[in-house]
Amino acid sequence: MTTKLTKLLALALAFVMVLGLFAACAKTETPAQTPAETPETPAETPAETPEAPAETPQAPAEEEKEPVTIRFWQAGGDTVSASTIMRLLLDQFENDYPWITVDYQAIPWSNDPETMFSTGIASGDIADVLVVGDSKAFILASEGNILPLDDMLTEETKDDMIDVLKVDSVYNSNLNPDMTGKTIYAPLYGGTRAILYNKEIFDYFGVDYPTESMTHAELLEMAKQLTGDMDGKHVYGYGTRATTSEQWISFVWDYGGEIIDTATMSAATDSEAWTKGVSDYMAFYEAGVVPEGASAMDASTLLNMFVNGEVAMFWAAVDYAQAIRVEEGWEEKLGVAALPHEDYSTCYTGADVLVVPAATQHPEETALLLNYLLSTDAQATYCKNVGFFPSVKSASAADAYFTEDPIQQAFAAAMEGCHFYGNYGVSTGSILRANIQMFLNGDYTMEEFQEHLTEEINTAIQENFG
Amino acid sequence: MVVSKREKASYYLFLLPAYLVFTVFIFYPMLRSIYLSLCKYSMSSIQNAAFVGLKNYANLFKNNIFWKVLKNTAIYTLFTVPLTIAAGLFLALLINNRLVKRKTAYKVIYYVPYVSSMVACAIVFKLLFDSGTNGIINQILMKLGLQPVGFLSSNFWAMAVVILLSVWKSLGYVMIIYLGGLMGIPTEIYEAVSLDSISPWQKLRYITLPLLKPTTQFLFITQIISSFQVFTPVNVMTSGGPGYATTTLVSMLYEAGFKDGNMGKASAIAVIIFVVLTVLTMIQNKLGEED
Repeated sequence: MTTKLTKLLALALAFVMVLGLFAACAKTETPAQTPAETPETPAETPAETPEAPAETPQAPAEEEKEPVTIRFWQAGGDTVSASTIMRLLLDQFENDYPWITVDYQAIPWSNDPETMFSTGIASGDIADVLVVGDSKAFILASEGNILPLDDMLTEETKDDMIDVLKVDSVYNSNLNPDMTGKTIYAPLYGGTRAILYNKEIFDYFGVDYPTESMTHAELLEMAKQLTGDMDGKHVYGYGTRATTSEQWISFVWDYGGEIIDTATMSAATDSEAWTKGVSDYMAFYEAGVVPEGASAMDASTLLNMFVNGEVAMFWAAVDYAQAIRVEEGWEEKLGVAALPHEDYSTCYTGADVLVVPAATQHPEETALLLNYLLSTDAQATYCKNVGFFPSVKSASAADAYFTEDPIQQAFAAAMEGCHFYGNYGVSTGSILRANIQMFLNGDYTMEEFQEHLTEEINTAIQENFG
Repeated sequence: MVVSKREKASYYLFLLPAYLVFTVFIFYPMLRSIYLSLCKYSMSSIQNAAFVGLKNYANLFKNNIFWKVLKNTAIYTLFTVPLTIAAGLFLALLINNRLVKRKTAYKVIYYVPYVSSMVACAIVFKLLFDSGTNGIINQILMKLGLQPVGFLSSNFWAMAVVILLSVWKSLGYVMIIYLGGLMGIPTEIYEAVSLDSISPWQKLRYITLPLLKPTTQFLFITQIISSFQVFTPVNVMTSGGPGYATTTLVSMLYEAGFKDGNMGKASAIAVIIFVVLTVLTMIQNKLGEED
């Protein structure tokens, strides 16, 4: 009896195990099993009830349509209220197009959403529209995993896009000739960097506030004048950190330098522009105007130093400016200015963008959604509440929030001279970080720095495309 | 005892769930990883894996950064493993001493870091050893009239801080394992030698340490394996920097696989780690057998 029971139990266990395996491996069509099954919603609710977007003028004539559900996955959406605002916009879209339901999921950046999307594309279970970083859009286009949007976006939408975003949205590489010259993404919003400065420190040292026509040399002189003791506290004139290249790459761009020459797909880091640009950046370290340990500093430390009045100025994105401004006393003393730029655009920028996977089941409805999200009202509502910059000119011109707020105005001015990091399909971030740190720490001479950097970037290109 | 075929079948059926789990989650991924190390396979774009033979290995061996990273991992292991084992043994001997009271409290105190999140510990160490003047250790140094030290911005100190964190975090575990080993040594042996006039050092040298050898061997193997897999403290505290001073094999693997999306290269690094660890473990086992 016992033996029989034992066998029966063993059989049952094995059966359950095998069944479980099959169930786990099975592909499902239901949205409940998407990679973002339980997306995190922002912990905080928006401070103010966001304004509901006005109805779009594109609502079609009443007619019977088959109900359609489109899936929309957003990488990010984890800044305060971002996914809540997006859901409100999508509710409005569903009102305008009653036969369309949008199944929306926001996946925080901390959950590595772009890898999830790649996995979804590989398994054939991917949403109809995605929000990704602009460099990811380039990779997806290079591999033929997304559709060109030229026929999906209306002429009105395309004309309204901010110029720099419009230029970057066109695929300019030969890696995938089918996509060359085509629009690969619709920008959801743009973001750029500007100099945030403490007016109190400037006033104390009697230094004029930064201007738009400032050069990097003038910035250094200003930083020298701002370095010293103030009320018993040592102040560093300029806050920077070499842990991310966005903090120093604009010094190279200022001389027309680039990381990779896309025409030859090889490193462009051995140029004269790099020698001059990196020397200019190094000059800040040599002059002692940057904090101790700046070469290995992280963003939060630098932010704390600025808020504590230990750093006179540093450069950061608009969300930093918004966060600092609400701190006590900062409404008055926070100043924002564009980064130095002379002959070339130098202001670091980036965008989160909408792309349409090639496997979309509903291209027509997806096109309606794209044009809706880039409409004036949707853009103004989203960006006003989330804190980034609208991707269409009409939204930034129509709303007083963007035209009258001094911080928004400064960042809008910075957008004029902005420069995209560069979409190369090769990750150069850690190579740049490692080599600039070695140069700043004195482990490399300029010649060695450029030699190693060039060699490592070319190796990365070779490993990815060779 | 004769076991019938039916009974044998039931044994296998009992083992089947465990083997299925092992096959699906360990054995298959291992084989797949070896296969992918021979392929060009981009995770960022999910290209179909294209067989390229030993190209990923050749690229790695030609890459100066790989050798630097291998050296870093070896240095990290060479310092972390002996230091953790020596410190853990020292603590175990102290706590095992009959003169020490409140042994449980000490055990808990030393074991707490081991069960704490490595990310949380690394963040705390990062704040302690911040290179700027706001770093807690630097503030103490300045209060003592000394110059602040660029702990995380100096090649030497950055690696030293990573090693220190790893030793501090693991020594509680080593101590507990050694305490188990010490309790397993029959007291009769100590009673017998107490008739002779031997010093405590001789007792440790000729009785305790030889009898703890299986424990030490186990700890060496497990500590070497975990040292070769170090990733979290490096990623949180230094991101592999300054330069490549603290980049280890697993952080290079992570960079290749999840930042560059180059799964072929990442798999090749994983296979190299596997081979190195297998060889080291075999050597250690061999040495243990010879003794």
